[in-house]
Amino acid sequence: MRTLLYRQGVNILFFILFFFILLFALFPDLIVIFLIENTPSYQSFITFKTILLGIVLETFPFLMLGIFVSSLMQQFVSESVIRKFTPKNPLLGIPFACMLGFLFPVCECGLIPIVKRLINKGMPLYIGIVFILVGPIINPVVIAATYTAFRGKPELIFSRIGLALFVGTIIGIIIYKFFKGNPLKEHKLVHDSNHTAIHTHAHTHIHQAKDNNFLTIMDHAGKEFFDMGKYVMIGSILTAAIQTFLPRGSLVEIGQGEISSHVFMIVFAYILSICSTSDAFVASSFAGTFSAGSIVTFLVFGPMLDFKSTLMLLSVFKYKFVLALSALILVTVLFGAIMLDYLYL
Amino acid sequence: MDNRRQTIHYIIRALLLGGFTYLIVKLVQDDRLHYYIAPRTENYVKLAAFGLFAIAVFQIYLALKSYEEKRMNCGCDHTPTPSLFKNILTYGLFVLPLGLGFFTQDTLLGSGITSMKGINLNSSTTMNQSQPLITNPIVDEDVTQQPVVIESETKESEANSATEVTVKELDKLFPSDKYTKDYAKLGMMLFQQEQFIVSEMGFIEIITTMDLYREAFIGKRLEMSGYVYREDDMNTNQFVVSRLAMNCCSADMEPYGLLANSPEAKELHNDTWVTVVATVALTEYNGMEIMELQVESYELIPPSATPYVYPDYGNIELLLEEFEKK
Repeated sequence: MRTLLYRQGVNILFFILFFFILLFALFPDLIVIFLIENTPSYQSFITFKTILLGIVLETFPFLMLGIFVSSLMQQFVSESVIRKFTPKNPLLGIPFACMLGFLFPVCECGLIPIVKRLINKGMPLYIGIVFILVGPIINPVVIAATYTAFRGKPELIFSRIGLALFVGTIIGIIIYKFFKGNPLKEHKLVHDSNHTAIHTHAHTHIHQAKDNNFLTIMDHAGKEFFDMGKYVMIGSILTAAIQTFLPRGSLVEIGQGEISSHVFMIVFAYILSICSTSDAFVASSFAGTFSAGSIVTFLVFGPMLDFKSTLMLLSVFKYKFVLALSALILVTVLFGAIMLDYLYL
Repeated sequence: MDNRRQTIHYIIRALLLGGFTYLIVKLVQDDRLHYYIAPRTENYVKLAAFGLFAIAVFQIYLALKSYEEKRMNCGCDHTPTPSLFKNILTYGLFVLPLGLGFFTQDTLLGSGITSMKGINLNSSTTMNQSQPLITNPIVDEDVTQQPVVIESETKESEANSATEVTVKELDKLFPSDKYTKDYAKLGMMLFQQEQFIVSEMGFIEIITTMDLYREAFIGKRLEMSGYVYREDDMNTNQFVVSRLAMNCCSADMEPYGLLANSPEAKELHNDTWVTVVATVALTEYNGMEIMELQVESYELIPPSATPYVYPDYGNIELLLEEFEKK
């Protein structure tokens, strides 16, 4: 009885919240009563809204690309093709994954559904993970963006690429050696488009008929959009909130020590969740106040692991695996960046 | 029962996707897309709108199909949860940006976000300084040792040496290595003008060049437009003529600007748009040496139609050509 009341209570509370959001959305004048123009709260609201919309709109092209590629692969690329092309030997597998990363300039939002699809089709786990980690950093678009932001400091560009490959290789080897099972959350069999096995339950299969391929692709795309999209939304709301309400100046003073600057950059990159095409631009504003090594930490850790991508990873992989992966990334990037600071930068 | 629910989901999703499509269309039609997205990304967003629309249309088709058929299952792992709470939460996440986009006004950002991110007054820190700069241009010794042969030749050689001196002077004022040579070129070009404009095109590059070769620009007169911003620790005569630079979307905006000094600064509230005509000087701020504009005159202007500035994508040469045309 009590649990029923509790659940209804939460539902009602949520209805009220939703009602207010809708109310203010439909009658923005009401907001003015609460937030007088030119006060900090009005400014904050404007800033939050603009940043949120900017992120959401900017994510759409990458999401679209990711879900369409993923859906097309679901239909047309069979498991045998994946098995043929993927190298068995990890010595070849890891460079193969890096090469994939170089060829596909997709943001994490687009990458994760694709890799999920690939792993379901039989791609070895370690190759998929290296692809997720290294892809957002070593593709031409991001390299060009890094070059634009740090034109005068080429050592940062090389460090970024180098550290990314280093971390990718190490984690790839560790996963190959130690992670034997399948850490995907949903373990159901995903059918090939040519699959014609008899099903034990009677229902109409839309994609059994060949001429329904297109419909299935669109159906899958729609479902992927909402599956992935909800994490994109959560991440965007959080990023926008942090940018709006957290003054950077107060944070900068915290992270000036040799190791603490790296840690600061890791935390900052994690909560900021900026797309890898733009993070060089944001990092360039820190060029005067932070060491080169900590900037490289920001540039390598951010695309590999941030709040938004953690959510998306959790939707695809089991919780323990995501935890282990996060820890691996944290330790390897930190170690690699500090080494870079001493040896090269 | 099962596919009634499925139908409702399809319809809601079609509406949401259609909503996002329409949002992008509306922003493009009102010419407000650049409030959120940098020009170089705009085309991709427009393309995405097509994708959203296509999926939306098919969601409606699938809604109709699911309404008719007894049961539908694509055998994949995408069945939506039956929990009403979770569904409201999930779809609410999508409604929020839609609602904000449609029902609130598109506004320019200014000092609010600038105070959160902190203004960048030292944009040359992304470069390695190539050589120590000198404050007094030295006349090249070779010129004074040129042998004088005949009258006419002397005049010619004097004329030649005059241009040579200037070029050599410029090279001394703007030393560069292979990474900064484009900035040096830009700097020399600006330096040779009596009064130059810090234009919207190439704004960041101009500011960076000026910061790289600060000493060379002392005393130069310039014209610059932007919004007024001040940090808490600036004195009453100081403010910053700022611009927000955007790389691909409003999330990565960084404020750039130049410190300005004027006895009438009190009149200028934050977020007022001004054009200042000023001369460059140096000052110290927060332990760093930066430029300070001694304002000679200013003019209140309406906010620029293109208020945000964008980095020039590696082609300072193209930028230089554009400047030379004018």
